[in-house]
Amino acid sequence: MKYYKVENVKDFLKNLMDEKIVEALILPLKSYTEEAYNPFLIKDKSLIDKSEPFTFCKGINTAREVSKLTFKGALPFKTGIVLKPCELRAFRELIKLNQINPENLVTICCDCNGFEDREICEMCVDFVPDYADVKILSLGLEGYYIETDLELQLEENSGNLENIEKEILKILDEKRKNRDKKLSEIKSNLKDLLKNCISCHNCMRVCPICFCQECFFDSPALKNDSVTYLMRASRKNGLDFPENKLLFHLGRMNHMSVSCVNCGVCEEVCPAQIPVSQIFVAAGDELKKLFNYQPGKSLEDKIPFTCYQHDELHDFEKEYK
Amino acid sequence: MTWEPKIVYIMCSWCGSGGAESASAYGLKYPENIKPFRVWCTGGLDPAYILRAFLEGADGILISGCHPGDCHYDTGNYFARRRLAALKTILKTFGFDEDRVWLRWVGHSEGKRLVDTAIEFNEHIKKLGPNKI
Ligand code: SF4
Ligand code: SF4
Ligand code: FES
Repeated sequence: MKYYKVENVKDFLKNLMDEKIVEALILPLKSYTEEAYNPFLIKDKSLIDKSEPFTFCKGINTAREVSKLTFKGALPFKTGIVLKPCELRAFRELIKLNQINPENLVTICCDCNGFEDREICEMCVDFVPDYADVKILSLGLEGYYIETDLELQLEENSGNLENIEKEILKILDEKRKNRDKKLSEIKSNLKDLLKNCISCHNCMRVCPICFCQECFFDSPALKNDSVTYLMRASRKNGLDFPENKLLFHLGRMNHMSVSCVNCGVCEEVCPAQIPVSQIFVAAGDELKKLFNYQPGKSLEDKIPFTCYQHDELHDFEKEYK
Repeated sequence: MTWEPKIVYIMCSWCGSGGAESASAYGLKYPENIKPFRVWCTGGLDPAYILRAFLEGADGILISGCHPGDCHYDTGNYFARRRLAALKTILKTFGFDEDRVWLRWVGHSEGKRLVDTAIEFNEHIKKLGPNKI
């Protein structure tokens, strides 16, 4: 592992292109309307000037877009992708789910203290990108420190990294407290929180982990004939529409919350202001404890539903006496 | 009229249903309010099916498949155990009654075990009362 110090991240990115470490980059650029940032794929390094490398692209988890990029095969040349730590986790989770071909992709990721107006960021406890190919450290430091295995034409400098640990622990402490408080509110209140859901399924469509081409909850499996609707209505003392709200959320949660990377894009796009990602974090945290699994970390740790042990989880089997 | 719980008994097509076959060969009976529901293998049981029954007002859902090591598709029941552990954990997290879902393995020849399980679960759900979801 080598350390380098840089003052200006854009110059550093240009440098990566000059040295042919990457030939293309994916990073946030002003969209055509100039009103928001979107991830762009660029080959022309002068565009880097117009970028904001570490900003958040609203409603988009870049890993999901990268998955489309490699859908028909690996990229033919080295491409750098600038990600937030939560996007890096999604990226790694999607590799395990066979939705990203990582060949020729170089991940560039900076630690992150969250973004304004994103409640999910206030409870993020995983903001240092340990698994990036190019790890950028900035919290509590002057300038940026780069930690990487790549050979760069820069002068090595591990400088003064003492402050970072203190800063990280401070942020972590605050966010943990926030997380515990928020999650206990969420847990006791699920039905109420979901009452305004309009079943648009936007939350699922932007989720990096929900990659299925056809979702069970959009499928004809959940359509009934009119007689059945009437039966359900009398059985349930009135059927409220849109129907299947709880089924959709609890079902999706069962399918994927063990891999939820807490990126928050689901609640960012929700037209009904439902704290979807916080709900999924509440579920995901419990599953992560149950299976001792950390999504988006080691590529060797298998996703819990793709493996098993012979002797486990007996608390969930009812004993016969 | 006294309240009768609505119970769905999910059985895999081999040992679970086989247990029911053995029970009938011995002339054993389980309560009539229990509706059997067959899946090929517990490994093919999506938690969404269980949730659907639960949210549509089933008072209890019981699941039986081959004992670990005996699954006719080799490993389906190990995966099922993980899925069910996750489902019950999620239900509990949000304050739903996860004890309305039971998993108990039943072998093909274990007719008595199947019927005992059905009766025991029925009594258990009667004690809990109707599912007020
Ligand atoms: S939670 Fe929000 S985004 Fe998701 S289906 Fe409901 S209204 Fe749509
Ligand atoms: S459920 Fe929401 S927070 Fe979790 S990975 Fe999907 S979009 Fe991100
Ligand atoms: S066939 Fe019975 S559990 Fe798999």
